[in-house]
Amino acid sequence: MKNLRSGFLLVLLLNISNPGSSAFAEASLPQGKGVFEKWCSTCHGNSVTKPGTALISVRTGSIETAALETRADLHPVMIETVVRNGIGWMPTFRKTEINDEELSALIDYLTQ
Amino acid sequence: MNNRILPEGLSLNDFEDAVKELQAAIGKDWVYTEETDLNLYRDPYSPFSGEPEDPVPSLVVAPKTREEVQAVVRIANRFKIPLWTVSTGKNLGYGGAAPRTRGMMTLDLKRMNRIIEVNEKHGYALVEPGVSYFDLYRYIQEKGYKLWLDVPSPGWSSVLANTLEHGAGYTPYGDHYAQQCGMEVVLPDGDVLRTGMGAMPNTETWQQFRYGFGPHIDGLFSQSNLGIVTKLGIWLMPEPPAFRSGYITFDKPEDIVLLIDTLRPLRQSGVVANTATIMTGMMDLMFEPKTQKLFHDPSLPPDPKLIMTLLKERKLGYWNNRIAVYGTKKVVDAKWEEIQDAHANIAGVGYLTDFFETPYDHSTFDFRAKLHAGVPSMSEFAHMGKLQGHMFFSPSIPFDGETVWEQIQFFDNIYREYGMRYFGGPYISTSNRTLIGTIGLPTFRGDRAKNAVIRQIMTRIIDEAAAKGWGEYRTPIYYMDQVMNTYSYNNYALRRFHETLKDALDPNGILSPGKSGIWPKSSREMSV
Repeated sequence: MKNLRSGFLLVLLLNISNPGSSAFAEASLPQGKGVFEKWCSTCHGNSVTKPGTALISVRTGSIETAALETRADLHPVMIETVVRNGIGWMPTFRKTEINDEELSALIDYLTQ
Repeated sequence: MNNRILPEGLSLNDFEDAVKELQAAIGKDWVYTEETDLNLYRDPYSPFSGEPEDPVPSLVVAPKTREEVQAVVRIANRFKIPLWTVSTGKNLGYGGAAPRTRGMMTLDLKRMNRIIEVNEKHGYALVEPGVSYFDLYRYIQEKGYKLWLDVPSPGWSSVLANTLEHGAGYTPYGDHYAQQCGMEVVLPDGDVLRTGMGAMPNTETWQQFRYGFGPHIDGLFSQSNLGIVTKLGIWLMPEPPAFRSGYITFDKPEDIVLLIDTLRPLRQSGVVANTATIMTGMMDLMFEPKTQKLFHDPSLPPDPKLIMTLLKERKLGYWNNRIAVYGTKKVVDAKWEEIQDAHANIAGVGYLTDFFETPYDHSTFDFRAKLHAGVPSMSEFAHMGKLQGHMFFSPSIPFDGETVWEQIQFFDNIYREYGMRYFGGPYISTSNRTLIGTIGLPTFRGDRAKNAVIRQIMTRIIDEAAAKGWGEYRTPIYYMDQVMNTYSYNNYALRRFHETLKDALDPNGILSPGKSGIWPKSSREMSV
């Protein structure tokens, strides 16, 4: 839990993103979509064959409410925390994989 | 900089000086020393999660070029800082991006992600460590090359590192190290060599003829700490005109004996050229969220009758042999007929297959056909459900039905002592003369009590399996010493030979100390 707590703290201190609230956020959407397609879509795409989506759908009841691109309840802090700390069997993603700028763009894309 | 983790034996002053030199060599942005960054290099599936022993580096460097790797190695030598190398850092179940011990410097090669060459005519690729199977697949698709990869189950693995770790896939190129052809290696003193034909400056066959001249040394750099491989050649399979992919199904638990003994000659003769993979139908039921809980919830022990009903509903066997045959339609049909003939006298055998011909549409393949066609995905992770992690016990066992049956009873008896069950498999026929078992043990984030039990089981099965002659081909970082010590013929002659090489080539003990249970003289007392 220590990692998780420090992850939340980091996000709060950085205050890295506010969904859809700036020109920068809009400009970053294509980049965020690219990050999603490269790193996230293989597990979280809009299909029952994607293991992350399938697992979340057990709780939410449908693929649409489980696939990240169609969800409306994602929060920047949650996305940052999960990417940097992992959750369940999803591992951490390092900055050499998804750097802070790319993560910010991803957050803008998923919370637009 | 107070209270920070330091490399073993290094003062804070020297540490800070080393950090400055590293920053000057590869850029400030690519030297990580903050706790939040270092924590990204913990093993997310660690059996020591939440415990002081959970390994975390003291700093991380992420060079972009071979020249930067050389500079890092030279600095590490000057300050005598142990350097643990990771490529994509996704070797999950075997340690992920975590260093062997707390305080090592991690060399993260993910930024070295160039696909240097893909040669369609001669069927090979030359890649850097950070190139994943997804990266190489996308590149080949974009270029329209008629070449197939061979992929492990998780597509995010490094092509280079999975090959060096003797990883496996599911096509006829499934023994990845057997497809390796030519390496570039940064040595412990910062020098560089190229193996095979790569040692000849004007060669055009570095990725085509692996032996070159003189002793073939490439193996010294696999599962090794004698060098950092910065480029690797890998052979790729020409796209076949057609293939048949699917399951041969078997009804009963004891059918495993006939399954194995029928498969062995088919593998040795090359009729089944792919890495046939044998699993119980329960593995397939774990892919479905509705049936997953039957296996992941200890309070619901599997009901044999219910399981058999669920399998029959899906036309699955108790055992399923994932198999594929490749070639022209005529060849595929002929091989398939021969395979069916070989199974004709086994009661209850079934076939669940699909036939594919060019032009292929990979998006229509289910995940099994994807694996048989070298299309990377993450689909096989679906069977983990709510599990938080796993680590693998991966013994090499004889390709013999009775021995496999004995192995199942042997491990199940141990598992039962801990309130768990083992039903057998998966078995991967990486070579056509042995089977590799990849037995997953669950790990739990932050749950010390549960992880302690899992560690106890792992420690037991390594030694008890070794007593039967079943040795691991690969193991999580935490068990490398124990596994190496099971290869104990003639007073540990193999390990002593490795140590002699290690001390001669790496006198400062810089590169990945403890990798595969091989420690340099300076830290040999750390071996357990």
